[in-house]
Amino acid sequence: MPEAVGITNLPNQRYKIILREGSTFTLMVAGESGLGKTTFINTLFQTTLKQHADVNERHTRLASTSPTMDIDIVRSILEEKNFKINLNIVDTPGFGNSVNNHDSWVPIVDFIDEQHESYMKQEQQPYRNTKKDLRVHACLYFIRPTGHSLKPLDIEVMRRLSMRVNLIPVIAKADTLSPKELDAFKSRIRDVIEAQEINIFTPTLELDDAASAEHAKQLIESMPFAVVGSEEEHEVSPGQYVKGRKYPWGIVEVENEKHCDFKKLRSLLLRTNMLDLILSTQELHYETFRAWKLGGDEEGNEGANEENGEISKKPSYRKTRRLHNPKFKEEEDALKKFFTEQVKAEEQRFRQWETNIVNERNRLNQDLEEMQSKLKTLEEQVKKLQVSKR
Amino acid sequence: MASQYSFDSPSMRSNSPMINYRKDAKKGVKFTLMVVGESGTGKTTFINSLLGKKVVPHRFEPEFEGSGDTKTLMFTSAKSIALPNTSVLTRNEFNPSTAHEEPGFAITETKVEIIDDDNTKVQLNILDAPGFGDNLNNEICFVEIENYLKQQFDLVLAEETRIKRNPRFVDTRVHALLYFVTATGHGLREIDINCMKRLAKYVNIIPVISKADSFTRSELQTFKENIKYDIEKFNVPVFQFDNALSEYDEDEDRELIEECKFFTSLQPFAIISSENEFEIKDPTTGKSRIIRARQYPWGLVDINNTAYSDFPILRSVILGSHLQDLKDLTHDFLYETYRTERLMKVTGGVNGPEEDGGNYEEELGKLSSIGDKASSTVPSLSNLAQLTSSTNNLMKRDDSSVISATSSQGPRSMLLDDTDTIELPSPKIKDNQSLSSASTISLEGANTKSSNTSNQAFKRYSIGPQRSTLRQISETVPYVIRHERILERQQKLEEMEMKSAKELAARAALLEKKAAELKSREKSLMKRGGSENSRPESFTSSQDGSMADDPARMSSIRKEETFTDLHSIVSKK
Repeated sequence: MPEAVGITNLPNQRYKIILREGSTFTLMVAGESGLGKTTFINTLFQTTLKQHADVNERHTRLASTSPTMDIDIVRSILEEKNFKINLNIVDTPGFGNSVNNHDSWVPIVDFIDEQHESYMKQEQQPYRNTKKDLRVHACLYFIRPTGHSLKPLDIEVMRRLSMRVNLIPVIAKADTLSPKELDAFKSRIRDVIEAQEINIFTPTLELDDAASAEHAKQLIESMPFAVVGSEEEHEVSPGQYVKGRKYPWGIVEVENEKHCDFKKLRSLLLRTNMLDLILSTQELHYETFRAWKLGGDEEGNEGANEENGEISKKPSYRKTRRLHNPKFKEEEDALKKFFTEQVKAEEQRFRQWETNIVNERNRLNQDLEEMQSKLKTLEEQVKKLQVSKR
Repeated sequence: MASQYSFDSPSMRSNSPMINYRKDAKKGVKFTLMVVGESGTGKTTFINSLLGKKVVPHRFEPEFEGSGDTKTLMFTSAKSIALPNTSVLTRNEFNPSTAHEEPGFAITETKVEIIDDDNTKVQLNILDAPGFGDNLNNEICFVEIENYLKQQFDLVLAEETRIKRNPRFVDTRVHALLYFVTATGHGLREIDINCMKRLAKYVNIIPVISKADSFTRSELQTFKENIKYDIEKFNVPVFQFDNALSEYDEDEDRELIEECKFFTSLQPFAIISSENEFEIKDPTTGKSRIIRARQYPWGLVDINNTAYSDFPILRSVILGSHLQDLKDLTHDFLYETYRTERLMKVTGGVNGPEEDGGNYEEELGKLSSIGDKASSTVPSLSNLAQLTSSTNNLMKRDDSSVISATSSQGPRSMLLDDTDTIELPSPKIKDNQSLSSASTISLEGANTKSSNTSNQAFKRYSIGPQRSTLRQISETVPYVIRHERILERQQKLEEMEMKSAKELAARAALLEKKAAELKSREKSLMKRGGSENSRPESFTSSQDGSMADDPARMSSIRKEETFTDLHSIVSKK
């Protein structure tokens, strides 16, 4: 038997390269505040990556006239068995917190587009060895466990996100829904996602590998994942500690598949499908963005259509990044209105004042005339008296 | 502590003495409760577990037998054209393809009668606000609730001041509002604060943390503390259990004081509610009993267990111990404040509630300033307000100008008054307006003149005119209120009309655009078809084209009527 040439070693070489270089993974968490995004991230990577928002800071945010949304990025390097991964967590604190949530998705969508664009620009540079890549590989959208269905805001945001990133919907705080409620909730969400044509990320089914296909099928079936997060460990049985939430009526185990889908989601994100996520970002979402960007103007007015509520099925990107957040525009209008009202009121007051003054003057004039006439009569009287005296 | 409450009786009203000595115990106590909170915070479940039976259907749940008659009191859509029967809120059907549409906002009413062990009836009116927090812009929600609450106050006010009262008048004021705080674990949000602040003027607000089973004990503690801190920091006026403590005798009502303090320490109530009942066996006695609970894979949550759920306490508070308190407070404090403010507004002043009594001079000083203000008040009130204020001025002038004659003055001013009040309710408001504005202007001079001397003069001002002004106010108030409401409604309708007109115009423009597009496409197709097809057809099509072109050219010539063109035509001939 002839000795092998050595081509079979190629995967091993590749393995070494990847081992040396490490990898980058960017994960975005979106959803209303108070759904346990921070807790979930910390549970997922089993370290305190993100600090919980400071309560006092929240107060200053509320006290300011317009609580705005911002983008928060946490960078970290995780190391497991000598393999390093650069992890970027993108958070969107303050999303959906205001009374008027129109256009509240703009900062998120803009952020994603910006990353694509900056990556593209870096690619076009003559020297492109050190590229900064913050393209979002996966976006977890946290859904409030209402037990009803998706809210219009959720739908609007998810639809926009699903055109740009790998969207993975997640039911947060799943420990408030009993299994029956959860099932009904999940099926409603799936219906809505299908009917509204939101493209969520689904793992590819590899038909030649029965085990992984089975696993992928399981993952698809349990979408949207219901998760519970916890940073604390509790003792279930003597000597055995698990991550979970301790209630007076029992302990919810995070990693128990009967309690929630946390394990499945972790498997999807980290163990089995991370490469899928990274590659599909590169091949699908980045390429569509690039094609559109370089393709020119033919889709230029798509952005305008989107604003009119007509959302095209093709991914549409606004040609130029909007310079102003619509929120600010609204605020400006309100201020202008207030200003004009003030001016009006002041004018009114001045007019009033003026009429008052005119009236006063008239009155004084009248008084004066009266006085004069009185004086005259008195003078006449004096004259008369003088005459009569004589 | 849990054993103290019986599970089979619908509530613990029997142990409240407040109702029993009430005269209307036989008639039944009427109580209106409103639940407000984002959808999915468990309002429906709470109501159903409060009453011990299924009364209100869940979102997306088909109608069921034995449901109380729920009717929609009002509906506002987020967009202008949508009709109430197309919204999710009233149809209550799950339709994934329209889920992205904003549902709008509605207020629904469900009437339930519950009978206690000792035959005391409570007629419970439950108002729900579906759609709250579901829209993209949620400002309409609390504006609508505020309007609704205000309207109920206005109705009562109008009824109160009417000379002939309606014997079948139903008091629809809302006595308590349970505000369901979304269980974020952080604190109050902008919408919570804004909403509670706006509504607190008209109703007793009791904030409630629903779905308390999503918090561990320490989390719940911090959440409660955060909410309390927020309430204090942003001055959110919620219902206080301990504000009446000073009225109680410390020795006699020690229990009551303790109770109130206990409630205060618990606020905001963290509740868990459920519609399902489970049978459990007591491990010590072996007896089985039925409890309301939520079942999870990791345990059974008993909603009546006071160790982690304030549900039984809240139930006893709103249906028992504090039911009358809430009603009294609504009538004696909230409504009274509203009434004073409203009447002050009707008289033209923008002053807040005023202390009755000795500062007569001050009040008159204010009254004299009203004349100046009246002409600059908001237009909605102007007509009648100006008139009333002008009559005030009239009287004042009379009094100040003829100070010496005191005895003859009273009846004269009264007379003057009466003639004016007769005029007031007349429907010819426009005439009145011109009249009143004219009179205020003419009065201006007199007013300024009198204000200098007024202080001396008004010391001897008799009580008579004031009473007559009060009478006059009481007679005009119902009309003012009705008039205002009509105006408001008209404005709203106009707004809606404008909106829908705009939308229609937009749609029409879109359709036209599409039509033009189609036409041009058709033309191009025709052209292409013409070039490809056989000769005769192309001939006709080209002829068509020329025919279509000809009149245009003709008209252009006719329009311009230039001689050169005619010349060229002539020369060609």
